[in-house]
Amino acid sequence: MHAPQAQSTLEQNKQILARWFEEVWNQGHREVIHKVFSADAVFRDGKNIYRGPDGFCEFHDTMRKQFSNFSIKPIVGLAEHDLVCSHVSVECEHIESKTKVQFTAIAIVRVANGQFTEAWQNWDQAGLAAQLAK
Amino acid sequence: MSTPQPQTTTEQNKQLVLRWFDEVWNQGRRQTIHDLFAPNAILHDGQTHFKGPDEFCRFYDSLRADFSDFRVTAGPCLAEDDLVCLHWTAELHHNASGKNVKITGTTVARVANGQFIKAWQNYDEKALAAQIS
Repeated sequence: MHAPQAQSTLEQNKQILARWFEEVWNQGHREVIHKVFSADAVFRDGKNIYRGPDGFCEFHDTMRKQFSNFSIKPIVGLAEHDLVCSHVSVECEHIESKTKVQFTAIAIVRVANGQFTEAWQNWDQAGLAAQLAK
Repeated sequence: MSTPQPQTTTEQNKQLVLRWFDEVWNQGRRQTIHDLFAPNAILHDGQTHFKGPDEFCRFYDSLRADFSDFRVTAGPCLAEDDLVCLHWTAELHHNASGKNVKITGTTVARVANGQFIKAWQNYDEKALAAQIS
């Protein structure tokens, strides 16, 4: 059993995840990764595992090399205990083909002391690939 | 001896999503789709949208025709108000190639009266295709 949580903790955790998408992806503030992603955090993106902020930067930089003009908008979100989840819609532009694409993603993160300590993500890579194949 | 406490709604909603994956996928109980997927429910699965249990059953049947031996295990799960979210891992057998594959996915569902009324899902569809190619 967990003690009832103050609503503010859940709302704070939601805000941290919302800030992550807004600042890291929409605004392109790469330095936020090092502030929010804790040193030992593990990020599981499908079968790929990235460790620590430098590991996440690998994922981030790979995406940024291929896509620009990110606009990530929340669809639905929830939080409980130290976990927070956001389902988002992602719009961006494929740099090489200049194709505008849209796909969805769901992220779950565990938060401690205002930082992500663990994260899981799935996103519609098949849908993205289909849009680029047109 | 104290009286058992009734489950909270959020705990019931977690049990509902766990029941869905266990019964529908692990046990192959197609009837559970009709029990838990509300008649007007919509599942947004990436770019694909399934409306009502019959449309979901078509997706279920096509996947069951290609794959067998489903084993879905639950990862992190959380719930708030009428929403529940589960990250899951699925191991399954591709019948045509004889390959065993493993993927992950995340499902968010909105629950009312013991049924899913809306759901959103992303899973490693691309990784699944890569493993059987």
